[in-house]
Amino acid sequence: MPYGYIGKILRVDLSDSRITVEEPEENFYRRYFGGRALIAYYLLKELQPGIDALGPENILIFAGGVATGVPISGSGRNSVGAKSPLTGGYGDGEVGGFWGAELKRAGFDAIIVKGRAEKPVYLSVADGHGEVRDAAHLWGKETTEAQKAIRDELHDDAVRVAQIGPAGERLVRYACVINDVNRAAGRCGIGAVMGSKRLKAVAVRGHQPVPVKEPEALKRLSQWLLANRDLFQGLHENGTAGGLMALDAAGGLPTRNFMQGSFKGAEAISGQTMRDTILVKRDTCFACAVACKRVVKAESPYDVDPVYGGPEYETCAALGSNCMIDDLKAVARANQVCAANSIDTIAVGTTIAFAMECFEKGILTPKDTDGIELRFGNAEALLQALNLIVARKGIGNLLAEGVARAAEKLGGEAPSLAMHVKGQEVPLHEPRLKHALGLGYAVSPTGADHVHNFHDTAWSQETKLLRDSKTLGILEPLPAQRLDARKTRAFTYFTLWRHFMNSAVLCIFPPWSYSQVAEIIRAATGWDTSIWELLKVGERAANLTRAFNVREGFASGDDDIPDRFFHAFTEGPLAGVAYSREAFLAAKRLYYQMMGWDEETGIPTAAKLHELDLGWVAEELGRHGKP
Amino acid sequence: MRLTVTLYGNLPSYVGGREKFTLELEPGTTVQDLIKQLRLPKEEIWLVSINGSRAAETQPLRDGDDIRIFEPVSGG
Repeated sequence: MPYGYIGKILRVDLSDSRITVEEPEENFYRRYFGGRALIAYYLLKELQPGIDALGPENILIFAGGVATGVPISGSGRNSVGAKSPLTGGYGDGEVGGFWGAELKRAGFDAIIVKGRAEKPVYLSVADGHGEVRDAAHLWGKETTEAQKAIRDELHDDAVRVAQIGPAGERLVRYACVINDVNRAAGRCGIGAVMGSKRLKAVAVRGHQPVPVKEPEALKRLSQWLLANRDLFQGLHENGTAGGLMALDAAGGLPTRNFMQGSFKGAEAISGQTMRDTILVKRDTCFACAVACKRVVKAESPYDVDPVYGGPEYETCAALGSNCMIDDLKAVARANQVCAANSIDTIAVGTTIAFAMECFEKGILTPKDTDGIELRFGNAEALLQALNLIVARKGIGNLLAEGVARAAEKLGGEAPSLAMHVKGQEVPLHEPRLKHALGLGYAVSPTGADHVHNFHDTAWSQETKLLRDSKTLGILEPLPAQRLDARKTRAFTYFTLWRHFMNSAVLCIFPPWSYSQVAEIIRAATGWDTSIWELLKVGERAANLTRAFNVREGFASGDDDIPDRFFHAFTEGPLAGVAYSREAFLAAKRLYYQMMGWDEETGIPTAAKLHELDLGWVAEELGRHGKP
Repeated sequence: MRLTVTLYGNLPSYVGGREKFTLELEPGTTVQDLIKQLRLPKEEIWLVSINGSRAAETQPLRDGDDIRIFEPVSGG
């Protein structure tokens, strides 16, 4: 009998509503785990290169990991992946809440959806069975309304719903998938893929607890966490936006479309101000003691319904400082519009900040914006633009294509103002403050990403992270504004770990050490595993996703970041501190070498793929003439 | 002299959970002295700002100062 994982994957073909169950063997789970590695495995095996990400040929995968749904902090997450309509490469998003745990309780480790339904449908999965149901009456509904309708018709308020809102239906290219109406699998435009399949929602419900090999070991770990609350008290108290003021003080808070690193209105949009003004309670995910989620409420001039939770740091910076909005209620209102309609707050914030810069530079005029004065700091204009994006009307139809496509269409100077990597909008972390983070943006398989990345500021002194990381052989602090060989080595090891975390789909916020994560996996599965084996799972994910992108035609030149990051700020704490392109390029080449990839092309070598037991990927790349 | 101190992240846990408070200090007290007095572990302190500007460890404090102490930030 398997432990940790269930041993079943549900397959749904929306073209004919056919449902089948696949039962992979134990070694499949031990090799590919779940989340990113599992999704990349299926995308490589089952997609032809060059397909339209928004066509019926794309496949959409919801996946937990081998510890998802076991009773331990951080285990409530799931991934949703597909070929990304933003980047044209590998895409996934990870999301918290309760849906992932419920999927496992319903009897499945993952759901693979192919084809396209003729009419809108939703998928109901309950206790080992799946059913494709009509969703014509749900199409066009916002997330809260749709969730209620689904629960009503299934006669069960405990059903967990992952879904798209109207933005996903209209194929806004950075639409996301929303769990529990207030958690987002935000990145890569996976909600648009869901919309292209006319799949409104996936409702899950189960009654079987996930089998755990050593429940006592999990209890001991939970007791340790509760006895060490001080390690996460700040995150609990003020949420992810509790760190916003520190970034501002350091000069690395993205402001004015990344033209500045400090914002005069920072305090007004911080987690501390949120707590003192609009916070009504804190919320958590499945089995998690950290409880970093916010629930906010506001009235006039911006109504905010607490059902939509509250803005994260990324949202406060994307729709706040980077657009120079210092009104937290307006930011919370924008957050609600995004959750109700399934829009990635990072992507839309970076896109609107771009549009504001275009407007101020005269690239966009009031004629283009239906008269909206789309200037930095104009909260009303931001909300109007957001609503137009949801509706795909006027300027919103252009901006719904994502910042890269919008900039290409505008032409002229516009592409140089568009902050994206491989078509994915840059999240709210500053490479001029964190030099290896810039390398991470460039080499990430999903375009600019902040989670499977390296935040240099957490490594510049003897922090808990650094003390824990000695087990990987990273022994000394590394200055944040440096990108040398030692930093590249630490970056390489740590990002492999983060690729593993995205394959186990474990949250990064509970302060588990590497050894404790290995203990969690051991306790859940009964496997006598080690940090070594788990890092190799992460490395497998990094190589599978890179191989997918290589097969799609991505090359080393695509591993780059916007030129703006190589120009030092002229004011603020980082004024004059250079981030040099030469250092960046040297580190990129060194990273390729450390990864066992060709130093020129960035293509994984056959030897590296065989070392990871991915010989079939070497053969697949060979068939496509790569290398 | 009287000044305001704000601690960010997990730092309040070192002073009984207090996040923002006022202190009476002897003239001539520096940033470094303040950190010692509050018994904040040095490895947990990333940067200190006084009245919105980044401060050096040796900087003397003045009456009415708004002092903010930050731990290293990660991301995600």
